[in-house]
Amino acid sequence: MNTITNIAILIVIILILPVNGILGHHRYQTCEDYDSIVNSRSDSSDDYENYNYGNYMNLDLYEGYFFVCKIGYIEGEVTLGWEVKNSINANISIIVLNNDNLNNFISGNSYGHSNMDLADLYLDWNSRASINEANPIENREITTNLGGDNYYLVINYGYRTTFQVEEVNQKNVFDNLKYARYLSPDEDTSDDSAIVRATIDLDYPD
Amino acid sequence: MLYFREGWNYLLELYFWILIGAILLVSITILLARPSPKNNANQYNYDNLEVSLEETTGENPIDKNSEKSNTKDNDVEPDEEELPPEVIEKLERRKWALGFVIFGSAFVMMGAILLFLSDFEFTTFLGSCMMYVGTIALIKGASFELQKDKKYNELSSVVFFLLIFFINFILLTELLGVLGTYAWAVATPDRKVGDLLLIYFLPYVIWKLVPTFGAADNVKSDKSFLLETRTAVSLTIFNYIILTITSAEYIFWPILNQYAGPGFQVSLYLLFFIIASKIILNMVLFSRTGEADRPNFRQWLARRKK
Repeated sequence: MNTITNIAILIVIILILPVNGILGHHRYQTCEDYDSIVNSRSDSSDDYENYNYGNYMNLDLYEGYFFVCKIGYIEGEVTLGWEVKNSINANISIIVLNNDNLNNFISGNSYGHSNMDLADLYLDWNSRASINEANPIENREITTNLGGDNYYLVINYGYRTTFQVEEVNQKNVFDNLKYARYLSPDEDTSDDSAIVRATIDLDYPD
Repeated sequence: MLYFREGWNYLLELYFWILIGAILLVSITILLARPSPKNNANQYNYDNLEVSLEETTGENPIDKNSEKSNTKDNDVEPDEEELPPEVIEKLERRKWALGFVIFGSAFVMMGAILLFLSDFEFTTFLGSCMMYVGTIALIKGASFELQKDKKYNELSSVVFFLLIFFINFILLTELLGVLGTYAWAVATPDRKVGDLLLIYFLPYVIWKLVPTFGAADNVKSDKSFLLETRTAVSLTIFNYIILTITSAEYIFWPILNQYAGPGFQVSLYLLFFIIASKIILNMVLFSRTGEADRPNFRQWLARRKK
């Protein structure tokens, strides 16, 4: 009986096991920082332009939904930015939200920017002035003074259409499990699957 | 940390609340540890009865006691060996409780004075550390006081650990500024491990390594080869509650939320590892005992013939 109980607990644990490894965040992936990637790969690769890195998302998987990665707790003056590669120029929007606005975003309430400067990090992909299909990479960066809070990079694949209150279709726990699948950088180059890659860049003043 | 540099008012306010908390803690401890009048009477009678049974016959124990007290100066003081072990243990606990409370109060006071008088970075750090150690010592002293009168149970153990956890976290973030300076995404793996150890392992070590005489008598312990499953389950539930509360912002504590996520993650892995190890161990033990109990061929044949 004891063994059966243990096995049952084990199954429950496996079901709720976190998304991204032992030092990641529960449920949300941790955003990959560009500088951290460059520093960690300084010995093995010099050609960062051609190297595939960052958080990967399969467009088929996330269609009509959203991707969230957690940047973490930020307080004070920082330089914050992101870089996103949208391989097929899919209709996505990119935004950096604090914890409260993320909760509103997910629950369908009205949401916005907690800081005026953060509005400069918002991008609606299809409303860009020029679309370069050969190099579908966009980036934004700001230097601002942020209030102490947790911040997230959110890529909206059509889950929300406005900033106002709207009805949303939240996925259940079992649907969410499939987002636990990690894409490796090789998958980006080996086939022509529609992939979005994102990195953040967070720098503190010296 | 930002507030801290801006002015002393916040520090004074914090010091005020720590003092109030310490006074409240000591008051609650005294209130809880104080034996009820009925128990007092029983204890008194019990002590006298013991003396009268051993040393007197037919004499009034109270008279005997008063006689003893009158001639106390002349008599040789009784050795500690003559005292029952419970009394010795109680005296020891009282000594430890007093020691911790005095040491704790002195450290809190000295730390606060240091913070008030000097604004050097080193003295700020030292003063904060002293206040931290002092507060922990006060809590530890309170726990000894509870243990002395067998009032220290599982609930008080959990409450004290939670107190230490939150005091540790507040001082590491707000006063010392050790945590919360970097977002989780840009922190190196070493820093992540170090931060989690400071938040979770340090309070645990502080709580467990300081001697606790006979605390296990009142707190049931399920000894395991690794870590108690119950402890890991409690840690997981605790982290989950913190994560949920801070994520939904029932309590706005973003720094705690940053660490509660990975904390929950690590506790899940820990629980997974413990349970998996137990299952494997049980299976190995079962297979061994199964082989030992299995009848040999002759026994099996004899049973078949019957």
